[in-house]
Amino acid sequence: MHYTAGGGGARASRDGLDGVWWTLANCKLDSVEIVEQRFPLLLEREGWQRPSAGPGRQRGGLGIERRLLLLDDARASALNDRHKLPPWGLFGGGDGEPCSQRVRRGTREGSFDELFGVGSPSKFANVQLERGDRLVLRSGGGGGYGPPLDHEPDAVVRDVVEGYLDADEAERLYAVVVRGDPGELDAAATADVRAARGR
Amino acid sequence: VRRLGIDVGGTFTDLVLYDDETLELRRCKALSVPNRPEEGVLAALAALDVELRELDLFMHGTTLVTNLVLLRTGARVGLLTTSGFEDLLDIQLTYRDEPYDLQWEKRAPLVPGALRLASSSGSRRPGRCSSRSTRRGSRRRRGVSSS
Repeated sequence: MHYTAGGGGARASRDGLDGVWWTLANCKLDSVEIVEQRFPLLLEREGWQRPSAGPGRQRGGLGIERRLLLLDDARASALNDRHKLPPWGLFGGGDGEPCSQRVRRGTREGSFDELFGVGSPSKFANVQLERGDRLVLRSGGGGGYGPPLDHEPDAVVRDVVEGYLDADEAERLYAVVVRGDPGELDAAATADVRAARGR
Repeated sequence: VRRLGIDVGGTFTDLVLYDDETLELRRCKALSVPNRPEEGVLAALAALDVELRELDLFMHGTTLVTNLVLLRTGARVGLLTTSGFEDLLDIQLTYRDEPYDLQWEKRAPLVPGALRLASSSGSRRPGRCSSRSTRRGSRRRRGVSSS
């Protein structure tokens, strides 16, 4: 059984929590080693889904991406939500990235519905998977709160330095100009870009 | 049996000496010396006038590492980790310590994102190192359920 924590919604005065449980608040992340010992799975990636956070004066939390390789035949069933309708933003904040779960078999790649015709990308039962299939399971990001152009520029730079989004996304989503590696604020350019977008 | 236990804390070094036969319990407290934890231990031993050769058991613990993690006073460190898992230190347990506190924040990871790098070995493939034992383990324990 596989649960993935997701991004929390932005709060009125704080960013949403990155990769936490909300409805199942006493669950914890399975360790990669335990999953691999118990199931015929090889985890190829477990990391942030970028950029999944809904932008806002406070941003939503980041979702998580898990990439799996099946080492044996298996059957898959799923009961998920927010694959079509993303977690919504509030008071001018943007939506978070929706959840998704995709399969790759040979050269074919798509949702479970696209590959197996199960009628839904997020709810199905007993889909036969084969050894060598790859799964990409993504949990959604939280919605943002308030206008993204009101987001504190220094906080955007911190997110770039931390690797939550890149400089292009910082400028596109927040009108914040970040230079260099790992990143510093270009305050003058940021003021220009924000002014040009009506801030 | 004479047992001696020492705990080196950030402020005090505590020593307890217990004799199973006489039921005698002695204790003392010495100041810890920052960056020289052994000095507090030696001071406590001297204060209690303990002969080490008369002891049967010497147990030693310290909260120095816990303090270091809590206070973030250690060296600036980086992390080299398996490719694809650089974010795990930041993702942590996906657990909320205070599930009813909407203002709760996660702790910052010990190593910031810019200092967490992937090793380039790329050796996690079926049939090699960890994955081979993974497959054997998975067959043997298929009946084990996991939440």
